[in-house]
Amino acid sequence: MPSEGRRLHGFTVVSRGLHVARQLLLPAIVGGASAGGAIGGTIQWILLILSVPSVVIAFAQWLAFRFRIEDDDLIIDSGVLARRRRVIPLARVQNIDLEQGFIERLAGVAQLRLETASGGTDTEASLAVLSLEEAHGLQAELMRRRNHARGARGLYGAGSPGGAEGAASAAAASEAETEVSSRVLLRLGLADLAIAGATSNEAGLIAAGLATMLQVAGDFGQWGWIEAVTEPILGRSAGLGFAAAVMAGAILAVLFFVLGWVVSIAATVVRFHGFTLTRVGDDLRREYGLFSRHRSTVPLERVQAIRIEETLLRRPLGLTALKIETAGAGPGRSDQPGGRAEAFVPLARRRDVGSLLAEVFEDARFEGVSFRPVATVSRRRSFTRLAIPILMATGILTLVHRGALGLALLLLPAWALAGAQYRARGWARASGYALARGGVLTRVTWVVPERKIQTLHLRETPFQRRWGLGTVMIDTAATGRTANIVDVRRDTGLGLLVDLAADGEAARRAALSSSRAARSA
Amino acid sequence: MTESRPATPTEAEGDPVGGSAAPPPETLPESDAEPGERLDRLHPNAVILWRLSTLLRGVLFTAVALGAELVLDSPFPAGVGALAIAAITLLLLVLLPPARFRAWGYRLRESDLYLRHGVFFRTTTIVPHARIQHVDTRHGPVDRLLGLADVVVFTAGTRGAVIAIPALGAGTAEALRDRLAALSGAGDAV
Repeated sequence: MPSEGRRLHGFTVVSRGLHVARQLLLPAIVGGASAGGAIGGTIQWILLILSVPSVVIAFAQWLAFRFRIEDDDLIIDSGVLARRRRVIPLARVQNIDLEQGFIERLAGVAQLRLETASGGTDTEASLAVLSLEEAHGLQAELMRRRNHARGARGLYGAGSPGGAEGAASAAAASEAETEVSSRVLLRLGLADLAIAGATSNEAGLIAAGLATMLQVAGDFGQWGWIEAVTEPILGRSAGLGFAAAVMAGAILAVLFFVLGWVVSIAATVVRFHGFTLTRVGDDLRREYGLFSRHRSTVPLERVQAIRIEETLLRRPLGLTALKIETAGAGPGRSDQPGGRAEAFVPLARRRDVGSLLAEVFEDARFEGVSFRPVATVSRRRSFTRLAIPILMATGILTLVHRGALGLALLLLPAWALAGAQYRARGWARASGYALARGGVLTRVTWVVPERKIQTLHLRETPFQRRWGLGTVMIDTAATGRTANIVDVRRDTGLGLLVDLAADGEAARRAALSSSRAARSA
Repeated sequence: MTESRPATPTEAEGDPVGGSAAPPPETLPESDAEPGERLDRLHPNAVILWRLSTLLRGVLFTAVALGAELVLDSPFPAGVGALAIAAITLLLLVLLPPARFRAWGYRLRESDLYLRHGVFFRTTTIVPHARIQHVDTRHGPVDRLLGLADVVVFTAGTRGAVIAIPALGAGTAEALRDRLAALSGAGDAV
C-alpha cells in the first residue's frame, strides 16, 4: 500500500511520550519510592525499561500515520506492522471537534476529532496532533467538503436524486457556502459562569467527594495538615462530650460544603471560560476553556434532542442549562463523562431558552403548549417508595429508643415531595416535537423532534403493572439517555407509542422531501 | 391505525403459570392483543431451549455450591445449600420458560415492527422500518438442533440499538430477516 498524504505534527511523538510517561513513569517513581528498598528499585527499572519501546513505537506510529482528503473521503493510513487504511466518507461525519489540552496549547498544537454516527464508543478518526493553524484550516476544509458531499449525494434521501439533479444540488450547495453567515447566540462572562458553578447540583457531590478523599488520605497519614486542621476541633470536643462532637461534625460538614462549593465554582469558570455559542451557516459552534481549549461544531440537522435542565437552586433564579444531544461517539471519553451532550450551554436565562430553541429547531412552536399530567396514582407510588424506608427505619430505631417514633413525621415532607414529583412529570406534543418532563432535584425537560425518533418503548415494572401504568421511552440516536415519561396510563402510553411512530415517520418523510426540494430549487 | 385501540385494555394480571405448556395457537388471545392486531408467537421449542439453558446454569451453580460446602466448613449438613439451589433451579425450570413464552409476542406491521416481552418487567417496543440499519439472524449449536434462530435488528438508537427476537423457527427467522431488510430504510441519514 503506497503511503501518501500528510503526516501529523512532530509534537505527536512528544505528546504520546508524555502519555506513556503518565501511565508508566509516574507510577514507577511513586510506586517504587513507596515500596522502597531493593524491590522499589527493581519496579522502577522494570517500568522504565518497559517505557522505552513505547516511545520508540510512538515514533514509528507517527512515521506510519498518513492522512489525506481524496474526493469526498478522508483516508487515513496507520499501523506499523499491521497496516490499516480507514476511509471515512465525509458526508457521514457528524461532528468535527477541535480540542487542545493545556500542554498542547503551550506547544501550539491541537487535536481534530471526527465522529460519525456509528455506534462505537471510539472517535472514528482522531488527528492528534496537528499544528493549530493546520487544524483550523483542516476543520474548515472538512466542513466545506462535507457539506459539498452531502449536496452531491443527496444524502438525506434513501433513493438519491438522479445525476443531473445531483449535480445541480451540488452546485446549489457550494453556492450557498459562499454566503455563510455567522452570528453569536450566547456569550458567557465570568459572572455568568460563577453563577452556573454556584448553582449546580454537583457542588454537594464535590463536597462529599472531597470529604471522603481527605478522610482516605488522612487514614494513610500522608497529609498531616488535615489532622492539624481537624485536631483543634476534634481534640477539644473529646473533653466536652457528645454535643460538642456533633457540633464539630456539623462544623466540618459546613466547611466541606463551602469548600466543595468554591471548587465547583472554580471548576466551572476554568472549564467554560470564554464560552461562546455561534451559529455559522447551518452549524452550531461552541468554544470554551481556560487551560484546555475546546471548539466543537454541531450540524443543526444532526441534533437529536435538547435537554433543558433546571437544578433546584437555579429554578428560583430563572436559570437553566441546555444540553444538546447529537449522534456521535458515546461515553468513554475521559474529558466528557456524560458523553457528547455534556452541558452544551452551561447557563442560560429561562426567557432566552425560547430563542435558543428556535435557533436549533426552526419549525418548533412552543407558545401556549401545556403539559399533560401523568396518572394521578403516580403520586401514591412516589410516596410509597419514600415511605417504606422511612417506616422501616422508624420501626427499627424505635426498638432502640422510643423517641425515634418521631421519625414517622418525615412522612409529611415525603408526601409533599411525592406531590412535587408528580407535578414535575408531564408530557406534551407540539408542532412535530415531543416534550417530556420530570425530576424534582433537577427538572429535566426533553425536546425531541419526532422526525428523529429511532425506536419507542413502553416499559412496565411489576409495581407499575399493579396500577396499569408504564414508562414511555423515546429513543433517538443521541448517546446516553432516552427521554422518559414515567407513570403514564398503559393505554395512553401504548397509544402514544403508536402515534409517535406513525407521526415520526411522516415527519421524517416530510423533512426528507423538503430538504430535497430545497436542494434542487 | 391509531384509532383501532382495544376498548378495554384488560391486563393479563397474575397470569396463572402452569407447568404444562399447551401447544400455543398461532396468535395470542384477543384480550392480550395490542392495538388492533394480534401478535405472533415464538417457536414452541423456545421453551425447551430456555429450559436447557436454565438447567445448564443450575447444574453449574449446584456443583459450585456443593464444592464450596465440601471445602468450607458449613454450619448446615453438607449438601443443603446445593439442594436448595437445585430446587430453585427446578422451580425456575418448570415455571419461567412457559411464562416467558406466553409473554413474548411480535408483529411485522405495515410501517413498523411491534414487539412485547417480559414476564415481570414488560416492555413494548416499536421499531419503524425506516430506522432499521441492518438485520441479522444468528443461531447457536443448540438452536440449530431445535431448529431455532434469533432475529437481531440494529438501529442507530441508544436504548433500542440492538433488538433481538429470540427462538423463532429457522425458516420464519430467515423470512422475517429478509422482509425486514427489504423494508428497512437503506442509507437513511441520522
